[in-house]
Amino acid sequence: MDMLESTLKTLMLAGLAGDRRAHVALLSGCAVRLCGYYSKRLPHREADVEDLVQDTLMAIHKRRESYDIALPFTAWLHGIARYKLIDFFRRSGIRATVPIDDAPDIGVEDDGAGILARIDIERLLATLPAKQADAIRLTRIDGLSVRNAAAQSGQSEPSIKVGVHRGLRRLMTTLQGYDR
Amino acid sequence: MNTDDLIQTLAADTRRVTPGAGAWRVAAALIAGGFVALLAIDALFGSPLRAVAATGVMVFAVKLAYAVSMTAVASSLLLVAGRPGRRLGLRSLWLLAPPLVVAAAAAMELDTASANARASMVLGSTWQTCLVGIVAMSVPVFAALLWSFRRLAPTSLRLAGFLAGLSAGAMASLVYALYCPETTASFLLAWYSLGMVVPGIAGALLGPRVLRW
Repeated sequence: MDMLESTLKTLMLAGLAGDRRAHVALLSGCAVRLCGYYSKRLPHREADVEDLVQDTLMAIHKRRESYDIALPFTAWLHGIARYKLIDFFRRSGIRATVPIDDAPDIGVEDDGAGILARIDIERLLATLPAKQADAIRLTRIDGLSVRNAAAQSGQSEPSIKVGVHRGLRRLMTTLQGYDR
Repeated sequence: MNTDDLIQTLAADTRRVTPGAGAWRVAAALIAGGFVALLAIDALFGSPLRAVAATGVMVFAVKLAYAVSMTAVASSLLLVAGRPGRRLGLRSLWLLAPPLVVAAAAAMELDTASANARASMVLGSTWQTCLVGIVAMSVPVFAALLWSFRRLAPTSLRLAGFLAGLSAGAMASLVYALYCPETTASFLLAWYSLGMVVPGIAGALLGPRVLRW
């Protein structure tokens, strides 16, 4: 089950206070998110993903002191997950860059089936200007209303509508280009 | 081991973590490392405060203020660098504040001095001892800071290494000030700062190796 930021943070605070059951629940919740995060970035490498998840869980457990309780829990989790991913790339000699704000989607990741489809969509969206990509992601993938999407992205409502329209048209042209 | 078993094993050791634990750990490392440095320098130079008596308390207070403020700024930035999800940003500009104050004092001092007196004001008579002394005394402090980072999580190892080195150098200069016979702000600006920056650079170079987790 995916857990929300507020749930995770409550569990973390209880765990820091010494509550063992809350800590188990927290680690399980983290395991689900980490699994989504790593399998999206390392498709078809289940063994590596499981190693990374376990390695990261151990780091989370050992380095709980590094959590700043003024911050969202998922920001901390994402920082650790990203560090471990980069470390994994370095160890295995893969030259890859992980963008600094590679969307803390560790906060909104679904597990399993949707991931592969999501990669393709993300790859397509990455070809668009950031504003258009955000507009499409918020309204068409996350299913928000135009008003909520505007509030969340900091764009105006007309700009969201235009962004979706232009972005989708551009994607269509790109996809038709692949067909030929 | 499967992930569920791992979680149970880890959680078997769920200890209480007090909110300030990370900060206390870094502070304890600074104090412990500084104490070792003090013992070492005492064995080398003997009788602390003789230099302080010679220079007067005001001069000593200025050195102390520079060393303490740099230690405080560098180590609080270090703590931020050990917390995933936090960024340093403009906060790092605070590192420039203490040197700027000392630089202003040095500028006034050099301005009123005659041309041939300037070189001796900057170099003093002990600049080699000062530089070597501060860099050497930073080693135990740096080691203690590395220990404190075993429970923190630096995500940029170079940055954390630099800040750990800088904090260690600043703490070492605090210890060294007890034995320093120099009296000018120009000397303080040149050699104390260099004594902090050298361990900082060493820390940045070592960081990726020694801070990895």
